[in-house]
Amino acid sequence: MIMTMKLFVAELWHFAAVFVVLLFFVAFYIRWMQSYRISHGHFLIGMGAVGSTFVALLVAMFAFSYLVVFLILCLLGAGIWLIYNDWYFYRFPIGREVLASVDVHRATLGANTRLGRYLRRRQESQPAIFNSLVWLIGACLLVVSLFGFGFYRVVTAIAVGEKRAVAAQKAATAEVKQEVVQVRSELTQTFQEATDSLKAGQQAIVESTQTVNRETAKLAATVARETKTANSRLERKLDRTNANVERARKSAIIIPAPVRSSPPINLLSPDRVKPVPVDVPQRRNRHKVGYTEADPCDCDSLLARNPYLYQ
Amino acid sequence: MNEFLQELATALNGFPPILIVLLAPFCGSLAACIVVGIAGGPDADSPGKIAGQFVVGWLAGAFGGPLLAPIFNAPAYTIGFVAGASGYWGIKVYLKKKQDEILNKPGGPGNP
Repeated sequence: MIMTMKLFVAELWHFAAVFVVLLFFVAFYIRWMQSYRISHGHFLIGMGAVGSTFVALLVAMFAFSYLVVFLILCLLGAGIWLIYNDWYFYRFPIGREVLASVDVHRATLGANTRLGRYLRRRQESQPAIFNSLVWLIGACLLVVSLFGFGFYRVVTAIAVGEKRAVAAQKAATAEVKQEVVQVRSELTQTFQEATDSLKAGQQAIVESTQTVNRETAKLAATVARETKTANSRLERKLDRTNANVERARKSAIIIPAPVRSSPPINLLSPDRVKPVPVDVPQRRNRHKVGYTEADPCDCDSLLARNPYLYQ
Repeated sequence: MNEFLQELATALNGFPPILIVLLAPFCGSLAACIVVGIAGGPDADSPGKIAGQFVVGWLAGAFGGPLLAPIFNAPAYTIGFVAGASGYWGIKVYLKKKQDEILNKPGGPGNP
């Protein structure tokens, strides 16, 4: 708000300065138009002074910061014009007979000086010198110039504001871009560090695993060796045991062979075939081989007692 | 003096270009017309004629200066000033020649 107020006040001063210079220019131009016919010097020096005023006016409008220099030039021209006027009317004074014909009390336009009275007299003799059209043109020039200048300033202010907005946007974009780049680099660095540490950890794990594997392999080899030794010992022991057992079996275990041939299996029905008489052992031997009277087949054959014995 | 000139050149280079284009021929034409008017004496030309030559010289300089700028390696305001002065001088010489032509023609005004 303060910034806006400062800008507004600066614009106000600018406008006021342009207004003053423009008023001075228009008034001086009209004065020159009124007086340039007096002498050659009036024309030339007035032309230079009015021209320098015009330059100062344009500078005040469009390059305000240079106004001081060109205002000095303008005032220099106006001062030379004034000094020349003074010198001229001192050198060529207006005659008393000329001034006597002018009614002093009727001289309402212009200063009540020698020059003013002279111009008053000339106005009466040549009414075209204060042509109302000249004043009208001057007023129109003034108004149009002021309105044009105001329009120019407003358009310039809008353009400057837009330029500033664009510059601010660009700066903000650049800042964001820089931030993005920074964040990206930081992220990359962090990722790299994490990857490195992860790799180191993995390597440590692999190394420890390798160590463990090596130890395990060593242990396994030891175990295998010991197992092999134990196995061979066991085998030897087993062989010896087997041999002992075999020897013992060979010597101790005797499979009882049948003392006589087995009786033929009777495939025919006992109803149609006359049973073959079986030679029953003597009663006195029966208790020796374990036969009893109640044997179902009434014989001492193992095969007869259990037909599946030798299958 | 050299420093002052350098500062002046810097200040003039900082001007808006449109002002340089407009004002340099203006100043050149003005200076030329004042110099020529002082040198020519009181009865050289009528004030209206001088003013017309000044305006024509200004416009000629304003149009011709930018055309001459690529040829001469000089600041824009110098070229504009010289172009304005030479525009005034050229239009003066041209008008004089034309006037003599018209006046000295056998059937022209004043030559029956």
